[in-house]
Amino acid sequence: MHIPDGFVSGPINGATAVLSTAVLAFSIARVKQELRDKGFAVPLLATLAAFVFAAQMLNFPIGGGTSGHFLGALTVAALLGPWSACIVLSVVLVIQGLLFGDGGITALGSNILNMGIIAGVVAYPIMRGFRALLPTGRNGYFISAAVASWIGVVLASAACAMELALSGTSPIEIAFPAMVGTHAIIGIGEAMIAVAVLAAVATARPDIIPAWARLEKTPQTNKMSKSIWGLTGAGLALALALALFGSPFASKAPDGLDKVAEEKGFIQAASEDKVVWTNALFPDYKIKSIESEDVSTSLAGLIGTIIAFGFGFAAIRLTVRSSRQQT
Amino acid sequence: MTNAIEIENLRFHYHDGTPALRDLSLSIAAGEKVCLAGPNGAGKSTLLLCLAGLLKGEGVVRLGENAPLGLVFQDAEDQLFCPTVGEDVAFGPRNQKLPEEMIASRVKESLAAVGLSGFEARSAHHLSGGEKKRAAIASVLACAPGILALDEPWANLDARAVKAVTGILQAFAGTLLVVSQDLYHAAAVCERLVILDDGKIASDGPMENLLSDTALLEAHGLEFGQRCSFCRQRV
Amino acid sequence: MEHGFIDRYSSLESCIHRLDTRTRILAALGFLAVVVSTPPWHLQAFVIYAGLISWITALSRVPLRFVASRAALVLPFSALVALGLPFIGGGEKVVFFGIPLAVNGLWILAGAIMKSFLGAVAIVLLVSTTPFGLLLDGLRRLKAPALFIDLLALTYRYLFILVDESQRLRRAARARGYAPRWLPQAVVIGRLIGNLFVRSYRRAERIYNAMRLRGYDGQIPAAQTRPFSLSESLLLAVIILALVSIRIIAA
Repeated sequence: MHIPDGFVSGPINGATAVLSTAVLAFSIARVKQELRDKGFAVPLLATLAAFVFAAQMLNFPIGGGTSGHFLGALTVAALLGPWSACIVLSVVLVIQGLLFGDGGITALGSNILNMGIIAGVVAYPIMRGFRALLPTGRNGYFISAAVASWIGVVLASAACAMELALSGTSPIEIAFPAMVGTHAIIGIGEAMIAVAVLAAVATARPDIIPAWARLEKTPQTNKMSKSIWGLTGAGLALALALALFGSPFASKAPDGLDKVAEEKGFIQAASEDKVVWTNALFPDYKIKSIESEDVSTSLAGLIGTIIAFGFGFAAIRLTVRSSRQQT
Repeated sequence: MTNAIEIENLRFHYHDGTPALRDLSLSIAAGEKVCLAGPNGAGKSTLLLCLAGLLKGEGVVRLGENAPLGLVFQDAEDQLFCPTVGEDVAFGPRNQKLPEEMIASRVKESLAAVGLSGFEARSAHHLSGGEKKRAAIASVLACAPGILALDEPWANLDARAVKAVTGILQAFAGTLLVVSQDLYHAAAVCERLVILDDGKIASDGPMENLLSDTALLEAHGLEFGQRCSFCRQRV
Repeated sequence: MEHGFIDRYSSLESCIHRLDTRTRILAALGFLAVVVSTPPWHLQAFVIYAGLISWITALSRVPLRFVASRAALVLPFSALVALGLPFIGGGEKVVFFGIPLAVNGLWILAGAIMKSFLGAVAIVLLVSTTPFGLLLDGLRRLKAPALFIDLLALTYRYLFILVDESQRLRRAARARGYAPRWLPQAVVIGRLIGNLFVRSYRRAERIYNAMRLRGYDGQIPAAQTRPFSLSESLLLAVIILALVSIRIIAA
């Protein structure tokens, strides 16, 4: 999934670079704050970056003579938190780009966004969500990790396909099925390996994962935050799934307002030349450059859901924070 | 002569509860060269980590005015973590906030003491096993320790490297504590032997005396010297 | 793992090697930016870029074959992604040996291949003429975040050791008859990686102990740095100016 130079257009690379830099800067600040033993952060994150690099070199067959490899973003996130995962994967990507020609330097923003942020930081709340929904205990933990790993890899590949398509390098009808299709299978390997790693850690070094200590006891504490995480994470996953796979099936029949407008004859009022906002991102839930309606709608739904979630999440956090400060 | 190391009733348990060190007491005078030997699992490495302050057991661990204690691990790989050997050796003095010229001279002296002069720009992963071990020792010497502790310094080294390390240890002026199964080479460096077994001190005395007590050595999983392949006599 | 190629030529003597590391980094990045932003149908610009980077390679005394072969590693992926385009794209077509090929698709394919290759050449040249430690130092002096640079340095240091460990684990599995042909057998790889993780974590703890024993308090100390000299700044300005002019003129 490493994008070389020249595949993604300037504006898209620029946008992803800005986004990735922001998230990375935030991750660095958070990690400095969070790690109990701050000095340990440097040797730990670096050794884990080397680990991820080495682990990515172990290929597994996915059938048809092709092979896939481990990504590791969600696994590191499960062990050390999403912000550490973002940093670790970014380090791996920079080294791969600089020393091994794996991924272009100009495409670092996109690669970090896909393989570090989407597969790690975004997949993490999905894992928390499933953990909160499933019964507590080892099985719930491993299943959540497996599902979230798979989702992370698939979403990352979808994002990669989108970046290629929006840059005009590869038509979405080809890029999307190719990337998401192969990675839906590679993702299964990712899920298996994630569970294997977490199981190995749980057996040999349970002291590493603070969550393990909570897993063994029956958690009566934090029930409230559990259910909030559960709703958030599961809701997000569900929304994304619906947007991605459900939107093409959305009924094309006019909805309530449209129907009434047709019957009462005032639908003409909403004609093209009277449009106030001409810069809608996805007019009529389509992406202009993409010819296939189904794929176009899917993607529009996907991006829209993520943006809506982002705004909603930020709005709620800010509101809660400010209301806490008032009391 | 004040003691460099004073240990009183040291106790330490692993995570799972198994005792590693049981009520251990030991005194080492300044300038002494001591070998700490014993079977695997006796607690030798644990004792070194407690001395260095990385592990905290119950009891008293006191380092005299000859502190700091410099510790050289068994695996040199983990002690050379900078891009170049020069930076690795400079790491300690830099953290001590010494002025640049002093750092430079410490680096030069330490590399010379281990026979690696001119290795400043080399990167650690291009060195041979013996060179890595010597570079690790240099990086610890650069901190100007009064006490030097080493964990199995001769392990996995070829004959030439073994000789070099022995020379370095013989030349060291301060207090020396060497953990080693290799009594043959330890005897060339240390005058006192402390045998550790099952977390306790089993025996403590002059190297010469203890080495001739074959029964004692065998009882604690140790062997001195090599056997002649013809007559099976110890040489 | 074979890693001799990284610093094989980094201690040669040449005018390129003698430049301040920051100049080389900024020049490489400038070259990259200019190449990537050029639309593919300005072929003459790409010819000039190729000529320019070949000339600099010659100046640096790094063998051209070495640079080209390492950069060529990029090509398989590029071809894979973009190869189909001329066959399926719409719009104006041109006939080549009896097969109609979309012109648009051809341009995109050409652009992708040229840009990814030239970009790779620039990076290979940068890395070949700079010992990795110095490269990181250059980035640090260019105000990259210190934590990130420290991480890059440590990761690089232990990269090959961990790769060797992972290869050894796989070899051990192979020696016991592990020859996977379909996905469910990937669970063994999972166990190998799990093992590798635990080892890596333990190594991280040992490294941390070693650092603490030599006085580490959370900040890796860095040596003093030379300020950017006037002549270097001028040289860099000339290089950037030349690149930008080529970009504008050729376009």
